Amino acid sequence: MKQNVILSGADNSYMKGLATEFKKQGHNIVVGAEKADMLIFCIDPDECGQYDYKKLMHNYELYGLGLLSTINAYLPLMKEGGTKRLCFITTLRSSMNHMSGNDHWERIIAASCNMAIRILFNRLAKEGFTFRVFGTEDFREDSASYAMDYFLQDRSLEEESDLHSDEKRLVLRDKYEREYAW
Amino acid sequence: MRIILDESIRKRKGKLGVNKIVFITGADRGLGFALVKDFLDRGYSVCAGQFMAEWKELDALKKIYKENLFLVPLDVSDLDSINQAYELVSGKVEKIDILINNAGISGSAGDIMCLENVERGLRIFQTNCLGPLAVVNTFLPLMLKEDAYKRLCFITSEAGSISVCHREDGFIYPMSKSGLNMTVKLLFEQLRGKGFTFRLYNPGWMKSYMSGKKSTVGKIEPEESSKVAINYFVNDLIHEDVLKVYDNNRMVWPF
Repeated sequence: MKQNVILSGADNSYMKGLATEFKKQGHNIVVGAEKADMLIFCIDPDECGQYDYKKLMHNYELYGLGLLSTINAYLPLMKEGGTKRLCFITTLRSSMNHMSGNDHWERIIAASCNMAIRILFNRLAKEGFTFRVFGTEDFREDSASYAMDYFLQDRSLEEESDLHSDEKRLVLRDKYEREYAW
Repeated sequence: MRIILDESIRKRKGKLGVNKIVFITGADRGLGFALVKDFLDRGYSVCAGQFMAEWKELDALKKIYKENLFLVPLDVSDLDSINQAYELVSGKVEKIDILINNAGISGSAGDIMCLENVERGLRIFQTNCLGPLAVVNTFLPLMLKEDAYKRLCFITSEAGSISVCHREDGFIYPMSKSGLNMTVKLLFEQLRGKGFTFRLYNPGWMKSYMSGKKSTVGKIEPEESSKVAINYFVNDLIHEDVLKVYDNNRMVWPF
């Protein structure tokens, strides 16, 4: 089924690559439509050091609070759509359990966004919304097709075996579909 | 002028007790105030970050503990205030052994269908997440002194745990605490090789002042949580190379 897709968040080469991939598959990237099936928000804050307080604040406003405002604004359109899928692209560095090193302090923003997504999931999954969180290592444009593939796929939800289905929990996956703990 | 310890306190023995100096942010009331009292009772010298000059409980405590309690005006959301506090503290003490990042505020952006006060999220993030980072960054020289104990403590919350989050609204407070947890992870990665040890404490559902006035709901009083916290903060763990969140029941919370 062809999807009407809204792209939001970071305006970077990764999202441009993603738009190209969706169009190649015959899906529509929509702006100002009356309904949408899928919304994709890309969390890609600027690189920050540990003393870049103003930059961290700015990026929190852009991505942390921006994520909330964007979802709030598009929810009416999503309710009219068929798929009702909220997708997020973030860095694998946002995983607190898998992290190492003490660089990339913008991870603070990404971790905050993961919490926002979790609360959205708790609130909206019961209303029929499905969620996908894709973690990228490097935001390389040529890996955007993996994100698209993950966003478009349905996950097993057979009644007899759905106790721990991905559709009933929030999961961060990389391009190999490996799960990362939050 | 240096903090002068009472002679009777000097004679006490303790794992981390005699001559140890603790700096506590958000010390006016609630958990911060309870920690100040408990540390003073155990013979520590305390530098207490005072956000609300009009709140008089710290002043009353000062009359009892005199030189062992040093009150420092501090708004952790304001870099100038943090720098001024550093100037005051570094003029008073030669080192800080334990730094407790306790200051925090709460707030809600409501339901995603009808968001409200989203902009308040900036203030909450600045106070709960970047505030502790800026305090650590600024006070690090005092903690890097050769004979300092180098323990960094942070008050987090169940609200910061992404793995077990049950909330369906509010957003901005939990987001700030998840951000804080990541901040602490980054600091942990950076500083543990330099001899620092870390404590990340979820104080439980306290009847706190986080919303501006004392909450009538909650499971425990700040004074009860403080008794658990102080033991967690001063005692050594079997494994100091793993960062975990412990709560007031000594249970571990996932990130």
